[in-house]
Amino acid sequence: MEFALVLPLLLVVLVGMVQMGAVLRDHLVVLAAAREAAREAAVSPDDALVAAAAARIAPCGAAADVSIGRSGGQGEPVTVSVRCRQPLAVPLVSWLLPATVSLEGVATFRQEFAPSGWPP
Amino acid sequence: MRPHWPATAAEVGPSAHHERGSISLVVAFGLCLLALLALGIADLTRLADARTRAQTAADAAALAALQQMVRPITGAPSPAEEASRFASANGADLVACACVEGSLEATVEVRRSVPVLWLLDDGTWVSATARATAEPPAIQGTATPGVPAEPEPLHLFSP
Repeated sequence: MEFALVLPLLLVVLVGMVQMGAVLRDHLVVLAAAREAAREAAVSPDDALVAAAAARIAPCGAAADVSIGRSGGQGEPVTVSVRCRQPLAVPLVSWLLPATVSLEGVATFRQEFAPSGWPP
Repeated sequence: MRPHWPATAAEVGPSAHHERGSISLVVAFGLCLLALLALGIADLTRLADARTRAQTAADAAALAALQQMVRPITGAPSPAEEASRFASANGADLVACACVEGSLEATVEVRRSVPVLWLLDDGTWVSATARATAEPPAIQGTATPGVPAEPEPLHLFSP
């Protein structure tokens, strides 16, 4: 009888764990997308290529919000941040938690080239 | 005087009493196990996150060091300093840098602290290594005259 009382709670916890696993996976993939995008930004001055690199890997694809911060020319860092708003898909939990979770990955690489238009 | 909880078989019956107690125990034990599991998963999550970020830092550091070794910029810091700079920029510390000037290969090791953990010790470090290599410079005479030589591509190997 007590088990019947605890069972719904137990189910919510279990389903929550499954949802957390999915979010963790997406989080790690967003980090990887930021790394790839920053690597692309280090070798290519074309922001469209950087966004494409992020979209290839990010769990939200082309919906990824990519921002590129260049702080100079060759030898200076470029920082790329990739942000995804991922929906929480598992039932029950989306009722308890916000509908989407924002995931962000940031990576900084050394620019291997002088971007076009640099120095300004 | 007996304790106040049901004492005689006639009041509850031995089997009913036994069942009630054991179910509570199972539930309590199960919840404890679940809580422990949740804490363990939280730790693993942090470790996985730190590990991924450390790998990014190692990749950036190895490539930064190799670039300064292969295509040095005058006035720029040494390869090891560049590795350290880009490890820090990605939130990790440089532990070792096998980056001798004149070589075509840079291997770095970085580490990153995992601040708060539930089951494991606080202040655990995760480390990551990466190796970057450059292709040997093109043999003289193979480049097309008038066309600027392409810089040697850099390759990255991270486990």
